[in-house]
Amino acid sequence: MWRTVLRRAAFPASVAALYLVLACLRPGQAAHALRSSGHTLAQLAIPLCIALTVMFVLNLFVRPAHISRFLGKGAGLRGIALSSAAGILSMGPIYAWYPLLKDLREKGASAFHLANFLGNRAVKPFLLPVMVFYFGWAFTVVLNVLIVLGALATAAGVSLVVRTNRAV
Amino acid sequence: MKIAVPAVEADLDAEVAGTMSTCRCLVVVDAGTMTFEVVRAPSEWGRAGLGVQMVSRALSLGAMVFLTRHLSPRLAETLRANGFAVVTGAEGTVREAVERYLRQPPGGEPQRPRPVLDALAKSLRQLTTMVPTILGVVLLVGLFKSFISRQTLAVVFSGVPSTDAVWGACFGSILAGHPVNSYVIGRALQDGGVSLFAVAAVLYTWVSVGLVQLPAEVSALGARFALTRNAMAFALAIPVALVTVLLAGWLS
Repeated sequence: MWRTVLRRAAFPASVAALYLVLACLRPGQAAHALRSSGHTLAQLAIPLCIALTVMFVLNLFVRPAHISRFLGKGAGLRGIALSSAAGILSMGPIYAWYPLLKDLREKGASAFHLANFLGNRAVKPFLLPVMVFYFGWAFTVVLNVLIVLGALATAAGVSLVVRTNRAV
Repeated sequence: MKIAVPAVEADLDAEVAGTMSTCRCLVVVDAGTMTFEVVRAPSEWGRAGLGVQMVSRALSLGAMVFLTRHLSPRLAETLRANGFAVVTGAEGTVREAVERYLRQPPGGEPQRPRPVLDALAKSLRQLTTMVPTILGVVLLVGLFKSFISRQTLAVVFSGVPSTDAVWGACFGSILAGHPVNSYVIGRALQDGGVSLFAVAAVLYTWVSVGLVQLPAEVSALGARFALTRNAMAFALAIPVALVTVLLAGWLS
């Protein structure tokens, strides 16, 4: 547990150390940087609280097992919708999903659905409030729609290039 | 956690086998994702020791829990000696038996499901995982705003939409991490005078393209899959960025 805490603290601690060094060399600029960071953090507080609420709702109704069931099931439009939904709803680092994706590929899930899942991971429903706060509604909506369409296009290209390994 | 269940067929919706001698396979279920692997029963079933061989194979796959309907005391003792938690009385399908087990600790009273508290705890855990990195990125962005001038950024991000989108895509492809960090960095770039074309490309490629995790993706899904997907996502980032900014500007 302590190893995990230390690993997570390493990055902010490194940046804090950098601040200390820069504070010695250029105290005025370092102080300005710190004030700017504080302002950014204060701005982020409310969107992150909203994000926590959305995360809570998703965790209440969506289990990882649902997502694994979405993938590789159903053909045609239903399969596309399911793999898109799976990517959008999936949470956590991508490394945690690779073993599942490998397993599904070996069991016959198509390259299209797997690539579509990965592309749709860029859409994060619980972070939309943060994106709206920073970039506005129009930008957020258009970008996320294009991410979904881009994921489909990428998936189509991958499925043309790759032959899926069927499960033995 | 992986759970081994003797079943009549190799499927999550197959019935739990009555005894080891009537099962056609052991279904080894990953409780977190509900995916499964199968250990097939040997054709010469009935010879002594074959049940133990199947169980050994399940152990090598990482199973630590054995759910079954009935089990001989001798085999149960062997399983426990090999580190398995053994639970008898499992009924229904493999899926139902596993889900019922997950709600009830072995040998204990059935736990009342607490979905709200569990979801809240999971959400808080996810947020606390994100917070240290967000804090580090915010501090870094502060340094960026103070020490990197607009003139320095303008050397790379010249304001030409297509060029900015390409540089933004390059930047987002190299960096990795939680997407919220890309929003913070994107906003910092925008405040530093960088165009939204570059910012949109950063946001698109931050998750869609991953040079850092490319080796892991190659290992899991194959080189052709990984390279094609990443290359296509990078190429699409430029038109996506251009269309996003133009369309968003028109809609605003």
